[in-house]
Amino acid sequence: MTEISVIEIENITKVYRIGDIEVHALRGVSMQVRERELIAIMGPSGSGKSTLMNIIGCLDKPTDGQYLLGGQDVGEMDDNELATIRNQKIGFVFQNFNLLARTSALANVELPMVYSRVPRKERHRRAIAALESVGLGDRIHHKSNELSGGQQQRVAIARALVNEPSIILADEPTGNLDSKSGAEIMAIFQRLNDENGITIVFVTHEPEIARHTRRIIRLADGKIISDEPVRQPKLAGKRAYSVRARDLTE
Amino acid sequence: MQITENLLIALRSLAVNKLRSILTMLGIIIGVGAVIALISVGQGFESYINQQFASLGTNLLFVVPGQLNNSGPGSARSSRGAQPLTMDDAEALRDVFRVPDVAAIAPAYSRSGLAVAGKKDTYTTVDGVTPEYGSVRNFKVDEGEFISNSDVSGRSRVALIGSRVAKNLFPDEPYIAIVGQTIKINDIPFRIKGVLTEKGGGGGFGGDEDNVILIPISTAQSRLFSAPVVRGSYVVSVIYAQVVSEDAMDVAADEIAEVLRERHRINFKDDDDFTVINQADLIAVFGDITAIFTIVLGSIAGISLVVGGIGIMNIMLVSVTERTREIGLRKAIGAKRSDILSQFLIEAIVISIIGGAIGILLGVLGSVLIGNLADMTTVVTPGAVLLATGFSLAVGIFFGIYPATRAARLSPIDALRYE
Repeated sequence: MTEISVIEIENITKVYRIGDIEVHALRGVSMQVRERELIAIMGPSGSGKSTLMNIIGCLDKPTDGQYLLGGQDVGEMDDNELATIRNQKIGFVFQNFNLLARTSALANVELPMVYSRVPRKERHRRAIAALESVGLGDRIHHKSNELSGGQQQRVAIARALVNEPSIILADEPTGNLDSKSGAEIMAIFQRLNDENGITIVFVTHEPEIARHTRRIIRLADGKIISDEPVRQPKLAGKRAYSVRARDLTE
Repeated sequence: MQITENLLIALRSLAVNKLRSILTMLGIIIGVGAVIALISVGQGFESYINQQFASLGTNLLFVVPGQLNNSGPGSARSSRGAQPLTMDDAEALRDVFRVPDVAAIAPAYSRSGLAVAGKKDTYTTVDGVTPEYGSVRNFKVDEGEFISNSDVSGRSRVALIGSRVAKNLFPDEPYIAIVGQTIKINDIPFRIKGVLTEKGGGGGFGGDEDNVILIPISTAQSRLFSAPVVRGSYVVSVIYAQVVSEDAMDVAADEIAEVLRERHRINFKDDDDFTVINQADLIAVFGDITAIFTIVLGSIAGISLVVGGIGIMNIMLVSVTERTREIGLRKAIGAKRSDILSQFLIEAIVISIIGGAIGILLGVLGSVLIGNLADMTTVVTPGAVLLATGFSLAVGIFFGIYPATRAARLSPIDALRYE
């Protein structure tokens, strides 16, 4: 296994202040995610997993502790630098897709590149390639509201991919999908991880999703209560999925 | 983010909510349209008045009997104790040594009369005039000749008719055929010596200058109207004085006043019993009036622009709230504050600029329409268009900045969670 850590979290805490009450969402979490990992962060609501995801996704900063993303200390960055990190290093996939309404799949996928000022032609080419890689090469001009839920989520994955991020953060990506579409989406994630070597972090409370990953981190009350590999990761869809020995021995 | 991208986003979002966009623009459209139309009407009115004055003749002083200032223009000529102006007064003003700044003097004796030609008749102003009247009052002859000195000295029964009189009495005849015919004015026959060139601007300042008949002043005073005689000289209605240059208007007025005071034996402490009206003063007064008129109309229209701007702000705030999730998403995938700020600011500006453009179009149409209805030339100046464009741009920026700032300040986590 490669030794490069994409995410290094060291004893981070997060305290929200609601009026006079302090809410301790995270109480000292440490974890590391290496390249090419496919992991799930699980926990019941209120466990702090959303807070952890926001911090990993650079949408929020920890109150205390250190977060290195690809070796860079995120805690030192200002809003604009964080925006650039989100743009370049992180791809988001949300439960409710969050596509721009009445906008073509192509334009939706181009959006991150608009903010990183990629020239129009290049943007076009890369967006089409990303859409093809999720099997939507024939629907690039469809508006988001003309697509099914599964197709919308695939557009969202293409959008997350298009700036070649270090990690993809997926928040309940199959929560709004039927089981068949959900399986298709999980198959795409597994393929991206397996073939393209993209690090993927799921945040979910569904054991079904977690079973598709190779490592599960469980949170409760703002702390990690377990961190263990998945013995026999489930294969999404019909595609044969071979578990490599090295993934299980880490 | 690039401005073109933001422009596209703005246009797309306006296209999505077409009705709302149009209603939002309506405030700006009406405001800008009103500014353009009203300013053009004001300026048209101004140029109309200038034109009216110009058609009277240039560098003109009017000398009328009585005091205008004390009792108002309506009762001027009935002022008690005022001596009428006479032919001798006019003659005295021709003295180049005492009145050096006056180039020409043209007395006139005006009454109304009934002109008859064949079976047709028309009421019209009959002006008894001298040969100088043509150049001083800017009357030109289209066909035939103007009144000559021998016409005046011989008290000839000759007449020049204005274009409207010609139209009324000889509807289908060409001017060349009219000249030489005979008309009767108050039952006295006159030979038509010429037809005057149309002055236009019907019904304006000083009456319709095309509905007029000019005859020699001596004929008018003695043969047609039997004018009173004062100090052995026929009375005149008004004496026109053409001044050598615009700069000399005040000096010439003083020279005229001095001569007339002496002739009328007015004590140095008494007021004039006549009034010298300076055409330039009149133009200036009317200029002030029209300027105020334009400013008032423009400000009223400006208020509607501000109201339109508040409409934009309102809709932009709604739009920001509505698109909270979109803003959250954009921020999550890498939009900076400045990106979001410029997106919404440009959207507000696009609304106001498009509204402004439509408003300019409607304003120009409106001013043409008003011009046609009111029979006046309305002028849409580049200045007014520039003012309206600048104003709508400023409205867009001013009322767009607050909603845009609010959008830019949204936290991506809250925005994504927003339902």
